[in-house]
Amino acid sequence: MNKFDYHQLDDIIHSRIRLAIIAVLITVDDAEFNFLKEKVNTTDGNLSVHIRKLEEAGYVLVKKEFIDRKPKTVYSLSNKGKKAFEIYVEQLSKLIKK
Amino acid sequence: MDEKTALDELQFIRKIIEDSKKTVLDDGIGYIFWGIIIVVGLFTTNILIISKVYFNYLWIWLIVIGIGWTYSIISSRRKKERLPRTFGQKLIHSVWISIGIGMTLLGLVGPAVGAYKGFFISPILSVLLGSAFFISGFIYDLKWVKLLSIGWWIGAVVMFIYPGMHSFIIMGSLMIFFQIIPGIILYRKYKREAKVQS
Repeated sequence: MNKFDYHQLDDIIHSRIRLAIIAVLITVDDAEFNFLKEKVNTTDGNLSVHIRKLEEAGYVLVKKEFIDRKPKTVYSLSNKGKKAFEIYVEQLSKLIKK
Repeated sequence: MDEKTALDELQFIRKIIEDSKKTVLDDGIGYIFWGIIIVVGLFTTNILIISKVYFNYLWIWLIVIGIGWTYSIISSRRKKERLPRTFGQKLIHSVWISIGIGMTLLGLVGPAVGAYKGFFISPILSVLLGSAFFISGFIYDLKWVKLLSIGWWIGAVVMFIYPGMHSFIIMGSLMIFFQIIPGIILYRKYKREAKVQS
C-alpha cells in the first residue's frame, strides 16, 4: 500500500469536523449556525471552536445580520477556503490513483 | 495516510455534500396561502355564476393570481435571507416557479384568447399540479407528497370527462385535500424540526 506524507495535507482542513463544515458550506451560498450544527452533527461548543479556526485561517467568512429583527450569524466559504478544499480533494484523489 | 484512509475521507466528503445538497426546508406556508386564495377564487366565481351575475370572471382570477404572485415574490426574498440555498432548495424553487408561470399562462391567457372553454382550466391546472407535487415529493424525499399527484391526476381525468359547474367543487376539494392540508402537515413538520435544531 502506498504511504503518503500527510504533512502535505492542509492541517486546517484535515480534521473531520472542519472538513465536514467546509463540505457543507461548499454546497450552499451561506448557512446559519443551526443548519451547520445539524449537518455536521456536533455540539454548539465544538462547532464554534472549529468555525473560529476556519475563520482565522481565512477559509470561512462570518456575517452578522438582522433577519426579522433577530440577530443571525451566517457563514460562507471564502475563495481561499474553496481553493483549499479543491486542493485537499485533489490530493486525496491523487493518492488513490497512485 | 494510506489509500484506504484517503478513500474513506473522500467518501465522507461525498456523503456530507450529498446530504447537504438535497436538504430542503419548506415551511409549507406557500401551499397553504395559494390553496386558500384559489379556493376563495373558485368559491367566488361559483357563487357569481349561480347568482347569474355575469361579467368576465377572468378579472377575479387576475386579482387572485396577482395576490398569489405578490406573496410568492415577497416570501421568496425572505426565504433567501432565512434559509440556506442548497441545491434541493433551488430545485424546488425552480419547479414551482416554472409550474406557476405555466399555470398562470394556461389559466389566464388560454381562455382569454378562446383556446379552450373556462371549464377546462381546472383539469389542465390539476394535471400540472399533479406533476409539480410528484417532482416535489421526490426532491423532499417524502413519498406521501409524491402520492398527492395521484389525487390531482384522478381529479383532472374526472373534470375532463365531466366538465361543468361541479368542476369548481371538485377543484376546490382537491385544493383543500391535496394542497392546503399537506401544506399544514409540512408546516408542522418544519416547526417540529426547527424546534429540535434550536
